Amino acid sequence: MAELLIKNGAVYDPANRVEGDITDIAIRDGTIVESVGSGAQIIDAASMLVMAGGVDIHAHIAGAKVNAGRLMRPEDHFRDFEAKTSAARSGVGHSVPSIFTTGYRYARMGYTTVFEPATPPLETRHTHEELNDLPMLDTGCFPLFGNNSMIMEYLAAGKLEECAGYVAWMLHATKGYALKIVNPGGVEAWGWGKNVTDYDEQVPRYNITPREIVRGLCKVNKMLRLPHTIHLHPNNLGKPGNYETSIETLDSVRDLAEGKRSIHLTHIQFTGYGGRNWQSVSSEAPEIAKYVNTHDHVTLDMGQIIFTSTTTMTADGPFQFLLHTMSGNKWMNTDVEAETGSGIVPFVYKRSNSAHAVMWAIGLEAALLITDPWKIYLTTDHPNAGPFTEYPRIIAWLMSNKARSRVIAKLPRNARKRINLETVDRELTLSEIATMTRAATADALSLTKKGHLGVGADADVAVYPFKPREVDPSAEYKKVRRAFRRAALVVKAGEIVVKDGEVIKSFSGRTYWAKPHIEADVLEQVATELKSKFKKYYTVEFENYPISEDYLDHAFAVQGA
Amino acid sequence: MEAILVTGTSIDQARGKEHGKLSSQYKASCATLHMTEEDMHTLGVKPGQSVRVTSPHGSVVLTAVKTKEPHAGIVFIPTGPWANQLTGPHTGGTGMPHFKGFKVEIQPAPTEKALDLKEIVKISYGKKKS
Amino acid sequence: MTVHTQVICTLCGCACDDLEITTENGRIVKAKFACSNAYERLTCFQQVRSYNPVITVNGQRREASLEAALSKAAEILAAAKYPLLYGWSNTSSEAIRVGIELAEELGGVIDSTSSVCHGPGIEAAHEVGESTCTLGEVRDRADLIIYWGCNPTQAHMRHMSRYSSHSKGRYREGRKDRKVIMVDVRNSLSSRTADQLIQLTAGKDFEFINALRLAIRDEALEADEVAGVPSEKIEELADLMVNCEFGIIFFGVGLTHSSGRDENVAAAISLVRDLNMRTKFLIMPMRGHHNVTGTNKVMTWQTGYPFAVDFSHGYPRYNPGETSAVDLLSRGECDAALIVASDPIAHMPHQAAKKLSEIPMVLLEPIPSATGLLADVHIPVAVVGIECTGTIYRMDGVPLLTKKLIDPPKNCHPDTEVLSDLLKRVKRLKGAS
Repeated sequence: MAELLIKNGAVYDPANRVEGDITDIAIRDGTIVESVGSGAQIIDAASMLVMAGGVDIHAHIAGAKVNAGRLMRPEDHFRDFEAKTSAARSGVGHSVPSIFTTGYRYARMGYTTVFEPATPPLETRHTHEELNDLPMLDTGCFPLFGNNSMIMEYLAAGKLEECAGYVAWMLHATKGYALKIVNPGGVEAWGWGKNVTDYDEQVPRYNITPREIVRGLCKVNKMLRLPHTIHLHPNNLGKPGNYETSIETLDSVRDLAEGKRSIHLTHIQFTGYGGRNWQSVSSEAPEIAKYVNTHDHVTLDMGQIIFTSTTTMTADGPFQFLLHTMSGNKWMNTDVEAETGSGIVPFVYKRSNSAHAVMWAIGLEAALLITDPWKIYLTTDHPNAGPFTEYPRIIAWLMSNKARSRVIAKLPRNARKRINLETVDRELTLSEIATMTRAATADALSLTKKGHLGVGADADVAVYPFKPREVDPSAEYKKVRRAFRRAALVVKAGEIVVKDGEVIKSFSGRTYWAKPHIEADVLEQVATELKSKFKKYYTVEFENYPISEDYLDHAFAVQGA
Repeated sequence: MEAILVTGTSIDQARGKEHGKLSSQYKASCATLHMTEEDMHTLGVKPGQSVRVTSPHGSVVLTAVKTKEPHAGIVFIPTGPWANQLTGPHTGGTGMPHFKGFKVEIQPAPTEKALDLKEIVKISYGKKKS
Repeated sequence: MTVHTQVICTLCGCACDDLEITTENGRIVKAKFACSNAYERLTCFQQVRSYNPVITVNGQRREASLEAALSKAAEILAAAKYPLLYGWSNTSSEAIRVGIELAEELGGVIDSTSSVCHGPGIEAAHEVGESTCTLGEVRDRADLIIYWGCNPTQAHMRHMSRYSSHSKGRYREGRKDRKVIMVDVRNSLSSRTADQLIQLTAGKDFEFINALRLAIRDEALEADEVAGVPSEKIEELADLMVNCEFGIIFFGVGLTHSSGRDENVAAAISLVRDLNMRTKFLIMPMRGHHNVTGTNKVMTWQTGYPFAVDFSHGYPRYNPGETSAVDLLSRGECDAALIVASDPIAHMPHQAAKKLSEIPMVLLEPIPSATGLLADVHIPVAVVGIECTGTIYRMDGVPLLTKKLIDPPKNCHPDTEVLSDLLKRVKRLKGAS
């Protein structure tokens, strides 16, 4: 394969402690190497910013729920479309883009790896069909486990080993990467039109609480030595006062960490609310930050609000119904037998709305008040808080107090009283941004060859059109924003795929899945037991449930630690 | 006689088409007008006799079949090329033509017989533009 | 002799996956657990299927080699300014993916049979959304099942025993644990299995649904009767719905085909949505063909739109009534057609079918059909779920990978292969890179 040399770039590679050094990146056969020969193709990065390709740990881009969102929102597509080119397929979509457009838009921003964070196991074959079509990116998906009937029954009966065996079988069957938990117990309750609101409340008809589900799956995660921690969307999402549930949830698995990480709490903005109702809702990001700064077993991602029209979609069926009743917007819902659910509601976040203004501040406060960027990642929980195409805007806010102040000045006065952002003048550095958007996320996923530019790493490289030595990101945040919108060059697996913000070559990436640590004979025993009771839980046959590795166009199994 | 026409799938039509659309089974199931005994009596036909059905969009000869579903004034034709001689293409901006619930006129047609699929296709279609 | 177990049926939207098919010397000899519709198909198709491509020139139909047929087909499509690629409901999602790429390459329109079936239901979902579930939730939890404008004992024969009224679930013992209501304009065979039939005046579903919406909010009905149903009966039904633990409406083309079309479904979805303020209630369309749901899924994820997708401007455009097959054909807008896995000459109103018959037409279809009589090029293909594998989507969106049981005849290949070949040839002819 060809050799490539990216010369003279200002490299930010926090995993290898490179902070803006003018260095060359040598690539051969899709991998970063020490050096290349004289025949290598040379790209002069001319002091421009060079980072590893972006790694997005949480964006709803593929699967049954996302697709239902696309179907419900033709109006979202009418106003935003892209014509076919010689290198790219056509597509549509502002907040719920079609699959080709999704890949291209990420690539243009210099992202090269994106994970779908919530797939219903029974329908994960659909997710993989979409991920097979997703261009430009390496990917993977997190199957949903927090409302699974069999898991709840195993844990209620104290059968941890059997539970672990079942989860292992499910990871093989779904080719999933991590254990996703959404509103544990609450979505099963929603199967009867109900919800759970307390971490220690009994799930209807089951002898188990959300706390027990989370702790049980945390233990299973460790037993199976999975490459990522449990990935959690806690109970009471979107409810004023819910920051207490967040902290309670984080603390509930502290003792299980044993010096390592034990939990990733996702889109903290949606679960960092103080106040008692929507009139008094306030930011409790400082409390969250205090906890995270003093506890090393947790990681979070922002779920940052963008003031725009977007689409909310989560597996949190009861919350989504509540959002529909509050907003009056149309509502899609799908409950999945024995496993989970989902809900979709279009939504507009308005700067002039006090509650939305408070929500907007929370994500930024979390990112700025948490001191260690290896613990908090940049996301919008796409598309829930906003489309992923707005990441550059968030980067600008994080790097520039001036950029933030301009927005704050336009927020409703009574909202400004309930946030803390005005007192925060920290401005993140490029190193910290590189951490939050690639190095740390790759690390959280144990993708050792991603998110950095050391020798041996996958040759996923992004060159952004601005020169760090000549631009002050704080003052010139618009330049920063523009640069991150359109990469000057993107290399994926050693091939140049984007030039000057345009896709010049299509690429089909890997689908990562996690191979759990479990003895083969144990797995076989699990399968035998499962076969005998499968029909009780499902309307499909045991034999037709699992997805084989060759169903994925480019499967890549990752063994746990 | 006037009646409301409903077209749609039926178990015989579904099974008939598995024998191939050119089969006699398919014709036997689809080239039929299902009417109640009461309606047949009003019209003056017996099961197995031919009737001509006309709608604002076309006309077709079918074999009368006594329906097991008791509802006078509503007649049923299984979906297929015979039924579609009567349905209209106007979709009202929805993409969906009108397949159910519109008025038709029914007359006895003692001298005519329901056409084969090939004959219907030949008469109604197949004049290719150059 | 081979016995294939857990075979996924590729007939209707039930996609029953417990069939046991015995094959011997490349023929199906036994089909256990198949409903009578599926049984007919499995045991008949090999006798009636087409074996060789046919090219029609000046009204003369002649068998041709696959190479000649593909060449002529590609010529027809590449020469077209605005071709229609229609059907798709009886083939795999892998084939549909290639079909979409072909439509994009040709700058034509791709539409599935949903535009004449459940399309209006999808149009309703654009307006009001939809509250639904997978079939196991019905089997396990439903204590009130309403079949509306559909005829499951004839069109979805194992639906009741596998998934709904007669099924045994985790929380429901079976039929006796459920209340079953049939709402229809006719007293079909299915209604005999119900506790109650509510027979409506034809074309009055919309009025009836809105009366129900009032009744479930405890509003008084001023009229004595709506849609031919006495108001007391409407109020009784409303009570039943509000007081159940888990209710579901299964609706068929009775709603989408009759006057009101998408408005009927939007009203029904709104009724279900309103009920969620008081209890758990869901709705699900009874999709006909085994992969019609798949056509909508694949088109939506690849183009953003579920059917009637127009690529003439180089990007996906969608406007049922404008870009849908029956409308395009009636207005004489398309100058060529590729029909895959469907029989529009038989199933479209004859004015639209007539226009279709007047333009050059390529057909990919295993068994003889009305469309086959008129196609300029007819290429028989392998049957998904029997002669080749492929992913399909059950009516509730659950994806299943079908099995290959026997080899297809020598000249019959899977749609995916034929379409990929056509795509290559079309690109070459159009000079694209």
